[in-house]
Amino acid sequence: MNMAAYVAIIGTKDNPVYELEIGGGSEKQDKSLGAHLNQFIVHASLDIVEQVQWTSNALYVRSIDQFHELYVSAYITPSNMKFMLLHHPQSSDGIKIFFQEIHELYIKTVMNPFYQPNESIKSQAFDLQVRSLARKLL
Amino acid sequence: MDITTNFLSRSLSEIASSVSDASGDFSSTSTNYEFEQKLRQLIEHAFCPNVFTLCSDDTETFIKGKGFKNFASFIRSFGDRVERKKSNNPNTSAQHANSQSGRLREDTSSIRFLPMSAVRTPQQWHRDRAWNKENEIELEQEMSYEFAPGGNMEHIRELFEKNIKKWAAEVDDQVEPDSFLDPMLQYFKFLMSGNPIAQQETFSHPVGCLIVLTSHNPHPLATIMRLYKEVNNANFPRFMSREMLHYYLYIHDEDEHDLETSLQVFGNIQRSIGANSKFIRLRSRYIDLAHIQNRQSPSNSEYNRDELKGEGDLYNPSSLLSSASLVNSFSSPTLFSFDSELAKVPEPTWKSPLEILKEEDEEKGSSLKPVIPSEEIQEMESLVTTILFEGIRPFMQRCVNSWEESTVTHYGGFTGKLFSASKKYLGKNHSSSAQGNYDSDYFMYSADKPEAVKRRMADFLFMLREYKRAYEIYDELRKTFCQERAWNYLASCLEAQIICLLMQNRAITPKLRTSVLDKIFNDMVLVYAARLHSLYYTSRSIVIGSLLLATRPGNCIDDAVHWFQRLTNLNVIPLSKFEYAFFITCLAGLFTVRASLPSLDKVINGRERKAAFWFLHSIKNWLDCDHPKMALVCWKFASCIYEDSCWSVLSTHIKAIGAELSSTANDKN
Repeated sequence: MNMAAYVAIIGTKDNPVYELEIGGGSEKQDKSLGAHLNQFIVHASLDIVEQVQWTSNALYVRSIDQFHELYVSAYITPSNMKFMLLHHPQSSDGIKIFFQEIHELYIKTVMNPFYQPNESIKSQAFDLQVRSLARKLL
Repeated sequence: MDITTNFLSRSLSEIASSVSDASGDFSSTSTNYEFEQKLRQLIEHAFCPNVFTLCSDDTETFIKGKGFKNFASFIRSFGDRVERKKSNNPNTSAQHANSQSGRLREDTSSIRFLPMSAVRTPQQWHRDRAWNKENEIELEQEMSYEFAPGGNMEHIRELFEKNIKKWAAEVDDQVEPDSFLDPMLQYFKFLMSGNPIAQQETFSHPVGCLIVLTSHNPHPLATIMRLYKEVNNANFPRFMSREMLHYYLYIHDEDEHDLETSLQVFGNIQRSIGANSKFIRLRSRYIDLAHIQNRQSPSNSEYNRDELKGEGDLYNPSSLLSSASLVNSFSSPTLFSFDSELAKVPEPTWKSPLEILKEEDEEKGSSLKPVIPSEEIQEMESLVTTILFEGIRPFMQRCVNSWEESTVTHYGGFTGKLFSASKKYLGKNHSSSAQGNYDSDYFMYSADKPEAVKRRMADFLFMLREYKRAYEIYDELRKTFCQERAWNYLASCLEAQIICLLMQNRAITPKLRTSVLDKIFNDMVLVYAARLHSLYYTSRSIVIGSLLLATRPGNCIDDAVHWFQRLTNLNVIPLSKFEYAFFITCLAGLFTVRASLPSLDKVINGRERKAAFWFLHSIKNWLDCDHPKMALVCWKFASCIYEDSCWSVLSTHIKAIGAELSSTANDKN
């Protein structure tokens, strides 16, 4: 499995609640986009996510966008949080399970009374669990 | 608040399940209506009938006396935008409803005039110039760049680079990102200007010829016969049909000759040659705008007749009154009034890039600036309208009708089908007969072959805006061209099919996109780029197709950008740095087609973030090709979205780029 990927949980105001870079640094460094190429690609894909969410009842909307050899897959929760994954071509089953597992972790985070929705997730436990899921499923 | 958000999301999700995707049921406000109308009009004006002019010697002298190089130079600007005559009949009204939006669109057409000497392929044109230069032939007509053919990517690139520099310098801070659509439309116009004469398409082949003579001609009928023979014996390429409408124009010299005599002569001519003739009245005296400006400085370009007093007898009003009754009995009832105002002849807007570049290089101030009375402007507009709507269009319709009958006879019916089936069967076993009518040595069908006639028929239907029927014929031709390996014809056919599909008022469903449009598009790009290595036709076809598709609702915009990206990924044809930078910015420009949507529509269908992303992506390309102002403009457009974003990394990054660009600009200053 190709490990290079970028995971982001985007809030309702285009704010990143959680981000994770997996695998090596991006091989393509764009001069104007610099080291934040992944963030820009994911941010641009939000347009399509916002369109697709009105035409599909499913939470997992599969691969919605592409930038050269990178694909963007998305998972939209009922509370309009967007789980985005920037990855190389791979099986969508693993990605779907990955998103579902992260969704469960996210629900547990939201149930924490000290956590406000749309706030960034700083929990190390959350981070470790996401990393281990990524290693296992992606 | 979160419960509310949750509730709203769920409620709206339930509503959204009944929303259809790109079925054409989306509201007409899903696209930028103004841009769509501009684009459609540009396409209709770009693919318009061509008419060449052939003048007698007296006409050349007459028109030079008026201050114009030749008659085609004089008449060409009137053909750029021709409005249909208004009538009370709603069926022939000047405005027709756009069936999607119910809004009215002004119906304007275009007709391209050029001299007969310009009816040459670009290769022939350049060869003739080189030969004349080598042999030191300095005929003004031969050495002029007027009516130079287009289709050359170097000229387009050079001219557009100058224009984009000017545009970037004039962009102010308040301008919206979708203003980049204007340079894109201008680029498309440059691609289509001076549409070169080629074998695979007949849009630039002449549909008619205009034979012109004046009241100075002592033997009008003999001159007409001579000019008619000259047209028949003209050295046109073998792939060009000589079947065209002959139109005759008789110019009465208001300043020198008696109107009654001219009308009698014209009456004799008309009895001999028939209805395709027109009589107009023009003055022969040259009126110098610069000279009048030196005497007075009026506020606008129109001048009163009184200002001309003392300049000599520029026109004789007495002859107008005496012939009023005679004028009214003919087809040009316009009466010149005593209050003649002067106006400049409008500038032609469809000059080829080479022509524009050479005009800019020529010394300024030395060219004549003729003005003519406003009535003559109206006379010429009326002339062009008559030629187009009462001459050319009916001729094209008649041709189409007669070709339809003969095509059905040839291809349809039991005998025709048996013939084509046996040809197909034999063609598989006998490779020598698989060529059909295609001349693979010269890459063409000669004009008399049924394939060439059918192609011309399809192009006529296209120009008459009957896109549905044109599409059907292009589809039939596609199979033939594919079988006979007529690659240039095949690619051109596919290009025309895409335009026909997208110009029709039919919904572009996802199924139509994937099963039909994408397939046609991919085949077209493969043939134009990989087989024919033509950057011009590849660019042209991709630009038109992408722009048209981007105006459709739903996910068409993503497909349009995907199509356009093929232009940036052409491995077989190298692009210059400027072209690459411009094409990358065009990807952003395409996304801004959705910029003017109402706010709820924009949430669902907008592509603002995508546009910002590609504007940002293009910055480094503009810096690479030494266009810092364009880089700054793209940064401004991108910062509209990123600067105030809640994603702090993005807003920090965009500010850093802005600071870097400003410091680079300061260093250069």
